[in-house]
Amino acid sequence: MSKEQFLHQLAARLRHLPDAERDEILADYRAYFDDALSDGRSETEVAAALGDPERLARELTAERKFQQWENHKTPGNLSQVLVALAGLGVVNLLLALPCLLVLTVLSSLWLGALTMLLAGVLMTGSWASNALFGWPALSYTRMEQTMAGPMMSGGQPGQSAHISISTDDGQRVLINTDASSGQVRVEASNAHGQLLLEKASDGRVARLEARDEQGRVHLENLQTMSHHGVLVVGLVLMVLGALGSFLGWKILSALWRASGYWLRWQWQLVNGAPKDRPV
Amino acid sequence: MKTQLRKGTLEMCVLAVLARQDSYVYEIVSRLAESMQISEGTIYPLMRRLQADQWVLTYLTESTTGPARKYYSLTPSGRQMLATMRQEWISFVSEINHVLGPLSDLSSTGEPK
Repeated sequence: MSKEQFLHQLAARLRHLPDAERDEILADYRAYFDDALSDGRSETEVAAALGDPERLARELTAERKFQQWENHKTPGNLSQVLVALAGLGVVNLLLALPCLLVLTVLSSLWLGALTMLLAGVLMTGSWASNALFGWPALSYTRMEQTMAGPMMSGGQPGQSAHISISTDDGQRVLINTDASSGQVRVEASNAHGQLLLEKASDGRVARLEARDEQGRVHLENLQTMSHHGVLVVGLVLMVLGALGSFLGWKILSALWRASGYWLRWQWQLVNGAPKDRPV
Repeated sequence: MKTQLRKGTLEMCVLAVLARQDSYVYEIVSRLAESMQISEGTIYPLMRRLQADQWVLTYLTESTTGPARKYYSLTPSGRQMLATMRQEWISFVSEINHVLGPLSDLSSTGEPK
């Protein structure tokens, strides 16, 4: 291979690099050729000694990606290093992918913990805001606001009510109130299905059921939270979320560091040189 | 084994050459080639690495014969790194020598070198 052929091939393989950088590398190799030629060696000999331009270009590219990653440890740069190293036959991408997957899963778990922390802060915050300003209303999940008034007015206070409306073809609406326990039960049904709503004495929904020929949706023991409950759940969420976020962060950064060491080790394999970097 | 050792110590050797005086790549290669077998292709990526690690820096010098020439010079941190590497190398060699035993043992067993 002649000098120009070598430089041409190298230039073609380095076309992804910024112009200035590529020009510098090419100028350096040109100078090397010139030095060697004035030393009495032939172009072919020097080209052979310098090795395959393609391999050389891959090495230079990988080196550059690695530097980028050392400067900015972003997942994007990491994947570029992996691809570059894979191009050198150092890293088996098939092996690297599960590692990336684990990192991804851990990241999502960590995000979950962060969300928990956020929810906890929000809940505790709304409790504090409710305690101070009466806003927001913490009881928005309670049924009594929408149901108790009109339902209970059906009978005299202290009396149980029983209302039943039915038609010949099996349609039926049934409303029961129990004055002693304060329970209310509403039932609507026909030949094809049934809707049932039960309110417990303390105002929460005791049972909600919808049924047709295909299936059934059944909700029971729906608890509304007391004001203290909101505070407790908020605090628990906050503590769990904070712990999770902290631990997750620790594990993630440790893994991230480990992947850095691993990459550096891979890099040493390429270079065959110890890298005693001052950390 | 010799190839691996050479590969691992090439960085140190280049730094050692530059510790004596500033030099350009072809001269470094020639210097090294005087006393050891090296593959020329590995030097340039290595120089870029040394530069990225800021163990060496480059400057251009006008030459009388041709275009400006790029010289490499050792930085203080490069000098320090060379000292560390030299120390490690010496202790490594003495460790290995210790394991191998005195030279007379070697010749008596007739082990090929």
